[in-house]
Amino acid sequence: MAAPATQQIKIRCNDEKEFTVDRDVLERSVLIKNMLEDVTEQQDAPIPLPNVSGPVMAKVLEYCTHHRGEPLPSADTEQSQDETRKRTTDISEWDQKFITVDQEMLFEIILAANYLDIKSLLDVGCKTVANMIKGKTPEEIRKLFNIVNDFTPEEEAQIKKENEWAEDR
Amino acid sequence: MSSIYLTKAIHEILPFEVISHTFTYIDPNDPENGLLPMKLSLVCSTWRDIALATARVWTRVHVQIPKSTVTKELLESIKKWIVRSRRLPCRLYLEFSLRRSNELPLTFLSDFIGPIASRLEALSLRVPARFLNGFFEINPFEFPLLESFTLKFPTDDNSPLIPLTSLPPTAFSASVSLQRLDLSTGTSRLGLFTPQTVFPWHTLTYLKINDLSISAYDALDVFCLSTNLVHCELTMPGWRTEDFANGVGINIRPSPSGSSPYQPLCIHPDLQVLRLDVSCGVIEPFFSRLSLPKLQDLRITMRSGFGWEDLDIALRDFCSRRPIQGLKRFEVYGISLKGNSGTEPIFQFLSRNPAIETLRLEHCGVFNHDFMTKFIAKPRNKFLPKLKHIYVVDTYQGDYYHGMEREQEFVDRYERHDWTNDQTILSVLQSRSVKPGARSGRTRTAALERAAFSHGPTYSTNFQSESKKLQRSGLRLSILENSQQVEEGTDGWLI
Repeated sequence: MAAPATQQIKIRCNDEKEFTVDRDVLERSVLIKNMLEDVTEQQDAPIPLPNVSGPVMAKVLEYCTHHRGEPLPSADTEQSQDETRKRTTDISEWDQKFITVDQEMLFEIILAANYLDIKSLLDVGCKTVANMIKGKTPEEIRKLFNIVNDFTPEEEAQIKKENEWAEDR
Repeated sequence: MSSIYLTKAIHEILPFEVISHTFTYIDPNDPENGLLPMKLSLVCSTWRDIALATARVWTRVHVQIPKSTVTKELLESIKKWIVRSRRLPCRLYLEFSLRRSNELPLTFLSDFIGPIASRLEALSLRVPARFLNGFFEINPFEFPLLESFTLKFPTDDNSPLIPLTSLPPTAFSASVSLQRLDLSTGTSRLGLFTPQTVFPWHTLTYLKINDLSISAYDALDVFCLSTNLVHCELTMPGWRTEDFANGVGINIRPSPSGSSPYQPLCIHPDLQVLRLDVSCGVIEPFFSRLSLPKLQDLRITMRSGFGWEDLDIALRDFCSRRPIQGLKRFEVYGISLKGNSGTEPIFQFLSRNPAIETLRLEHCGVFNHDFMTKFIAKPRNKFLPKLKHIYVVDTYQGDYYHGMEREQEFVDRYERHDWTNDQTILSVLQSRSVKPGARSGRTRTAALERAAFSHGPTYSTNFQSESKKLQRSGLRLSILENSQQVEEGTDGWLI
């Protein structure tokens, strides 16, 4: 049963923070969209989102509100094009400004987008991380993302030797 | 926010599939990403596992045999790499040196290209010719996704080629997306310019062909089909004195239809880059028909010293045409080998195209110094107001100026001239507001040039120093050696 566009939905985050949001904004999330479609009667109880905190949800809602009304990619199209389509790390001006946050918030947004199944937001987050990796050496990447090098010198040498025929440019 | 971010690695926070998804947005073809699989694999063992499972990371394969000895393990390693790209479209670059390639089986190309031909977007072969023979004889592959095809041979490779007239006509017929075609020397021996039109010319936007031979000239009508070209580079080495002496140089042969072979190019409205390396007799009709409103980059190289008077007339016609509004780069090589033929129209052309930012005049003879004095040294906004780079390169090697009565005078002039205090250079730099940190002697000239490179127009008068400068910056250059002009890339491959 199609719901009116102005219907308001309540959600509750893991820190008890609640939001009341237009349904079409929330339906940018495939997870919430499916939940709403499974509910036949209108409920007043908020939808619990145990994996998202209030501050992160506020950012996610800012994104969903800005992009409300834009067509959602159909699952079939997405699946078939995903593998073969050309990739670009271009991010629109608004999205770029939106995602200019500290690394902690960036990871939280990516996790939330992944959990809520908001493909376009996940892409923006992943593109941002990809751009951070661009032009960096393995050592610089480790430093940037708190990674410990767990290779022995022998293992490192072996990886290099395996690909010594490959030209880097 | 939680403090886990202070202690945990990214792969302990984000799920592996999200990191894998992130990897798919790192372009393996972007030079800034270096050798992407290696870079990601060396971060840590978890990243290596994720990289191994992410097919897109492995979609650029650049095999360079000179770097290592050919072993069974090496061949297996290349195969593994290709397998990891699964069924994704990929780009394959193969480079074998003549010496090391003896260790490779002749079926190498067919073994590696065959299984992935249907998903190749780019194929670059810089291999000894004998590999190509084997490849084309054995494999009538189809390349439906191919967008870019490059073919180059090592400079020291003189092995005979089987002409591609024997190439199965289906080989590239399915390449309906082919946009970029870059063929190096040996083109004529390959017989690429036949009525069979092995390549789907009509889809091309980028065309670069070196070594268009005399016989290939007869097939130039194929360019009539290339209606989407925005970049065109052609080299027609009909410059050798003996060819002209025997009356077989392409500059004196009529085109098959009796019209200019360049006419189809000249009328193309969207051409942005045009670089022609031809004999003057060929370029003459080109000039007379030039109408390229969207041209941004024009380079003309002329060989031999025949017919300059006619050329002068053609150039005047060329220069009297409407300005090319967007022309930013203009290069002329060898326009005036005798007297001042051709130079005055060039001045006119420059004065009518004020958008030019880069100007290069190489081997243009006696007029350079006068040119600098008369035109470039004028104050800003009067002549070429947007000029950022000037390259004026001369050589006085005897044979290039053969027939020039004042050859010795040139040698004396350039060898003995005190460039460090050359008033023309100084006035040029001053007029362009360049403030070099000059000190003394030769250092001063070098400092002037360096400052000019960094902050303003560049003026170089010495061919050798210019060559080194270009080599350092990885650019290609033309070098005159013993009366033969040899085009070399910095990597020792013909370009």
